[in-house]
Amino acid sequence: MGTRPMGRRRARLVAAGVLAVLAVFALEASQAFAGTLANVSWSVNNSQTGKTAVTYAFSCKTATAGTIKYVTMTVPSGTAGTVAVGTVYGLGAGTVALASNTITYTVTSPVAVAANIPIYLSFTGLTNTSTAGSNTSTVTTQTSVPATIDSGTSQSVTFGSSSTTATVTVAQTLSFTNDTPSFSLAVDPTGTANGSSQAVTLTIQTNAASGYTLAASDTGLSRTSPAYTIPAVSVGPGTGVGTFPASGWGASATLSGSGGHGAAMASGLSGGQFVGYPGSAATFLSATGPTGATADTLVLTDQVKVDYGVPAGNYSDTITYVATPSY
Amino acid sequence: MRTAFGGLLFVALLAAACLGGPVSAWAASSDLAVSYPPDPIPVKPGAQTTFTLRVADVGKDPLSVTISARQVKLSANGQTQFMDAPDAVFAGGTHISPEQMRLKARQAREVTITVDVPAGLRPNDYFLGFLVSPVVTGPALRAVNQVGALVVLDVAGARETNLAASYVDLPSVVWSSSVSAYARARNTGVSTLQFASTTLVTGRVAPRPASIWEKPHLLPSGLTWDVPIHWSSWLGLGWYKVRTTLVYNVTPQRTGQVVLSRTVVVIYPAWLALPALIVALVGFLVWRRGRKRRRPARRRPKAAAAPTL
Repeated sequence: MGTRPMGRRRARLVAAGVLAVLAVFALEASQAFAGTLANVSWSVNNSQTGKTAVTYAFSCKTATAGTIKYVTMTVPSGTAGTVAVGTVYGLGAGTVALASNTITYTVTSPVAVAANIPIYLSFTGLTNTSTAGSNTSTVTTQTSVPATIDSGTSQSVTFGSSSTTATVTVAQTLSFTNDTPSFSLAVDPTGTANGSSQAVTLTIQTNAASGYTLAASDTGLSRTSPAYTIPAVSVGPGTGVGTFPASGWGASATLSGSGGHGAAMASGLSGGQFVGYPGSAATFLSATGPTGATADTLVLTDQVKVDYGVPAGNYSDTITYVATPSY
Repeated sequence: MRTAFGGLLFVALLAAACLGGPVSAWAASSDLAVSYPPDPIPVKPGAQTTFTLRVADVGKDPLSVTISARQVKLSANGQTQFMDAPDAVFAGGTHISPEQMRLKARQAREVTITVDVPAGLRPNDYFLGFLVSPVVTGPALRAVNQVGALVVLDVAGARETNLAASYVDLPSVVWSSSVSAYARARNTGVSTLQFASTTLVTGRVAPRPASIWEKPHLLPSGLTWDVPIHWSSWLGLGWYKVRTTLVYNVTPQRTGQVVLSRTVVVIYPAWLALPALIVALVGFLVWRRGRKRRRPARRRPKAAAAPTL
């Protein structure tokens, strides 16, 4: 009987100890949970105080794996505007709100995000603070609790009223050159001179984000009285022929450029094959990105060949190349 | 003509060219550049908007050019084609000044475009095309290089956007050391949307790259865009989970998403030879061991005979 109170006391002490240890572990665990976001960056496209319709962009890299429900980004006191989502990378769909000098992006359906995953968020429609000064932004990722997963502070951005804001709008430009706008060829059906060709060098250069399309068509190499059209070697750039026919009109092509922007000729032009110009515009060349500093050069070798079945006379044709930017 | 060339049938693409030789390039170069607004221009139905194009002769010869409005046919992956006529929706209210002009070498001039935005136009992006065409004179064969400018008008308001997506050319087992596939996004809504995508590749052996970002693209209703997905395994072997998240604007404050996911096994075909090599190696070792065992049995009689000599 005398040992019972002692046993209870001991049990209570043990329980308290266990609880204390658990509490310490829990605290340790919660501290270990929060990491430091890497490469935190904040940029604005206009740093003039009070400026409206400004875009803020934030980027960082996760340090800790977790299910991100919220990303909060502090902004200077007085930042206002009707914030809208610009571009989101690394996270799913969500909504944005600006309150208490904090932009909060709330992920609609959070999923686990691993460590070392780059995240990029941009927001439009913001109005800069009217207070001049240097400011940093603290970016925090949070769970749905919300509990902090990672946090980090950006470099500073300076807002100023006396500073000169340089806004440079770079237009989209498409440059298209043609070294041979017109030419003539002379042939006869003898074996020694029954074919002739002319190289036309086209260059295309653009900063259009999605690249360009080059289409071509012609009116047909033809004459009147009597009417005759020298046949195209194929129906268009999608169909190439390896051997130039005894009588025909078409082109082969070579492409050169910096590469890396998805420039590709039509399938019929591959391997030095010949294609005919179609009556309505068809794509000869396309690219999926900007060319950069080096233009794409397409050398089209227009070629005609005749036999004794082709009536003599003057034949004419207008080949139209149209370079259009992609959307 | 036949008589002059000894009865041969003669085909001249231009008679004058025959005197000068078999090939003759007549005209100087035609080198054009056109600049236009890079971003969609916010407009209101019933209002008027004005913007400029900049047309430059970037060559060393003067050029005469014409500027005309054209309907734009939009295709998959951002491709465009300019039609022969202006867009019927804007045709009556589009004014181009000047419509034709002469440019000196290295000269640029601005062209002012004024568009009356029809009242009752639904909130959406509208694509306007303007074609700059050089006036080419010369002999019978003319190669005319025309340049297009693409201007987007953005009519603000609630839009009906919806995006669907699927993987293309992404099997569960890839017999290569690298994977090249697409995530095909399709706008199934009625308004143009803008989407961006992130693809994360996780698994063993470490993929290169592990994350693929695709820049934002406008995607008109009914059209598709193939987002390239490419990664490789340095070992030629790997077990990967690929997850693509396409995020698009539903409203200015809210985005929608489509998530694609697939498990992909990468096997470089040379690895298939490995079991055969192992079997061959084991066979060789067994054969060699057997041979070693047999050899001493043959030598023993010789060794035993030596002392007797």
